[in-house]
Amino acid sequence: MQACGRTFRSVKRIRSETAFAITAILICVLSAGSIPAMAQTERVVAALTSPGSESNRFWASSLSWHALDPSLEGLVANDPVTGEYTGDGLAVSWEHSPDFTEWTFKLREGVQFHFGYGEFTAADVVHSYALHTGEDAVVPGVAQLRGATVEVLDDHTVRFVYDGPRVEKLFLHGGRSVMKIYSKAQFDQEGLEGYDERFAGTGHYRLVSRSPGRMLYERVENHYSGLTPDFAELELRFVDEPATKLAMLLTGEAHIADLPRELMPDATGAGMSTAQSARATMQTDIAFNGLYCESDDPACRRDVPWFDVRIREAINRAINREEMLEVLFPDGGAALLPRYAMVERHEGFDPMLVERFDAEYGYDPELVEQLMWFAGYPDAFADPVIRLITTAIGGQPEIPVQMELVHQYLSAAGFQVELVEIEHARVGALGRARELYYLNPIRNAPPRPTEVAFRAFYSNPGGPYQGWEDDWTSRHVSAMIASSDADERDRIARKVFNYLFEQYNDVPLFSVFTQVAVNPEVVSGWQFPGVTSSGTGHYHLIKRAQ
Amino acid sequence: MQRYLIRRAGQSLLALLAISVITFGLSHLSGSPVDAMLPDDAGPEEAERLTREWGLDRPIHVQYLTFLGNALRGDLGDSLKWRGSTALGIVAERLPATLQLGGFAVLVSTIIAIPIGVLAGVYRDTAFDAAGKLVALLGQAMPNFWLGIVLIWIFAVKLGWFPTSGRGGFSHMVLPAIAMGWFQVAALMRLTRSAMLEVLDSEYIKLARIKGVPEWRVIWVHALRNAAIAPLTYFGVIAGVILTGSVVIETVFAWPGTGQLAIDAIRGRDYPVIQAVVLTFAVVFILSNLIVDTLYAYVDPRIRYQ
Repeated sequence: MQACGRTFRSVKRIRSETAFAITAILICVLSAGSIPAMAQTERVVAALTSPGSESNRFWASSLSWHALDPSLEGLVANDPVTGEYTGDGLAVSWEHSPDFTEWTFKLREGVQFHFGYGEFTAADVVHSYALHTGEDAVVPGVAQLRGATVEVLDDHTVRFVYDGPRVEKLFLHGGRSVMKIYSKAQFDQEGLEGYDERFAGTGHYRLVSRSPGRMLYERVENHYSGLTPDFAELELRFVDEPATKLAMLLTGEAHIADLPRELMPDATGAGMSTAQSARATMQTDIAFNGLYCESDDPACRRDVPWFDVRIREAINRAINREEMLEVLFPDGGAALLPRYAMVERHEGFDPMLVERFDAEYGYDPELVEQLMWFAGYPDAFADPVIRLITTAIGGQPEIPVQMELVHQYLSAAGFQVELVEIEHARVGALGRARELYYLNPIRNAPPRPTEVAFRAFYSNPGGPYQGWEDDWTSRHVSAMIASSDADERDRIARKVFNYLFEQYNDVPLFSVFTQVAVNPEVVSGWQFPGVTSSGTGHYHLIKRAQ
Repeated sequence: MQRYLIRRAGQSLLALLAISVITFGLSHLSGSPVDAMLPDDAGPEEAERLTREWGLDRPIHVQYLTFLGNALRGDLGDSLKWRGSTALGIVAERLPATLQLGGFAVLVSTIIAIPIGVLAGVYRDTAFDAAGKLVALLGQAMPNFWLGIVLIWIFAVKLGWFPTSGRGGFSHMVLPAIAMGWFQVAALMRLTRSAMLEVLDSEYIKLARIKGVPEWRVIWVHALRNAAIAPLTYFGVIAGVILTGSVVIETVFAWPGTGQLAIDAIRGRDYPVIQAVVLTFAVVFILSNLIVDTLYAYVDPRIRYQ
């Protein structure tokens, strides 16, 4: 009781001294005011993951699609539902020579660049091509864009002439455009500094301002497409912390957020809805790295367990994909992937592989045991340890969990497994140096046209992340790339897919759709095909809720 | 005093040189920016081309000496990631945001820590003292990124008092400043408390009381002025901690300052920007320590610099 009394007296004495401090804090708190539950609906705000670079120079950054997409366009448009190439964009039509070495684009007339930089013409295409193939160009696919002579046939006709065939030329100018169209007139007047300050595009939105972490666009009223976006302004806020993005959505500070999948239930539980790409935007698989086994290449490691096709099959069959799907994507938005790089609308698609998938890749622990026994695992291998890479990849939070699950399945099957954490960029460096000997989660790669995928993953020396090289594959992929006969190309591509399927050359996992959370009180829908690298796009089709 | 300042300036330059060597070495040890910049489908030829273009194929000591020569002319190079911008330009663009937030965080931590420290000293071993210790303990025990998220959740999402993130008016600063500054409260409060205990026991305080000086004046004017010397020296340390803390807090609150820039630059292995950020932080840290040391002499006239 005495102690209580002392305490009470102490508190009483200090009351006057602390009064000012408490008052000061209260003033601070109250003067902050409250945040309106809903922001001004003339402006739609999207909280998105930071682009790789906050640069306006598209060609010099490998990851800035979603930041520049509202304003900059490629030559070729994509249908918002099917994703097919359409003549609704800057190019109204195109044709190619029979051998695919010449591509002629007929350009739309009467298209005006933003901010009064004049009409879009062939000169802008030539200028943009020079920018995107310069020394500082790092945008994906630039190697395939390079090598052309660009001829201006008239103000609205331009021709690209290559030494070799470029069958997938449209891919370079469509949704995942390697080349955006910049204004030559602006460049002539202001140089690159003009672009850095405020670039002029031809899209449905024009840039108003750019500051660190934020881009503000306003709609173009008389766009050549005849479409006017519902929202007068589009604000992109670049936020890396997922919890912060969710908070922005819940407080009405943002109306769209590209949340990781584990936070989606929190958003939908709070009344948000989702918008999903019309098509799968990514494919996930696990590569058997280090099989650089073309023509006795010394980099080929025959001692790794997965050099043996029986081990590759066993690993594939030790994984319960349906179960993984439920764990990783409980709210949907993903499907099983029977063959990495094979896409229904592209060359070489074989429906038989889809049918055979369950029988030949399905979860079967007993068969795994037999395959391991026949392969002599682990005794037949000097180093039987299977090392799985786990890595943090921006925007793909499911990868570490996915690799944990694979680790569990393989351990349960009796494999000696080790999880190795390697930075994603380091994985690429090891791959380019041909020193990558792991089971490697291929990042969620956007579906590419077959030739582009083959060039990236199955040609020698191939992309840095796959590491599958053998004489058979190389010969056939080269034959396909060299061919300009559509039937022959399709036949070869199908043959390659069948061969890879039967070789169990990787561990195909999932086709994944892009999902964003939206506030249904502000945004009623957003139709985007999922053809861009970030998955999102067609910002002008964000619909206002009534 | 003048000689002292000149000597300190010389020491600061040496420190900056050492920091530049360490930063240069560590950032190069982390790998090549080419690997971070190149897209997934880029082959070895592309990697070689960029390596050549960015001068990364030269021996590391040549790269460093080139960097140093340029740095002495105020040129820290062009960003490898933000094409078209100089490293120093990007840092200069972002620094005001960090200084604004950092300054406010220091203010917040001072406003909280000093009164609590004073009162904890005055009312030693009471409930107030215990509560003060608890506040301090919480500040040091809670990771600032976690605290940031909790603050957002309570004060932005649930109560709607403050915005969640971004840079704007005063209200945008409150939550990140608390998340950043709370950690400092503990140390500052304990320093103030122990200094107050010592001062309150001194003869001149007893004399002031005997002379009938009001108690609030004894504590907040006479005692605090002398007790402030110890926490004042700590402000130099706070500057460093606040700057490094900005790296996490700015990411959580999407505050577009140099902390967030540092994360982006490290992710992209943008050497020039990493070096520019670290050297800028170092300069701010050294300057703030220099200011504190100079102030020290004014606060305590007994101190003379030799």
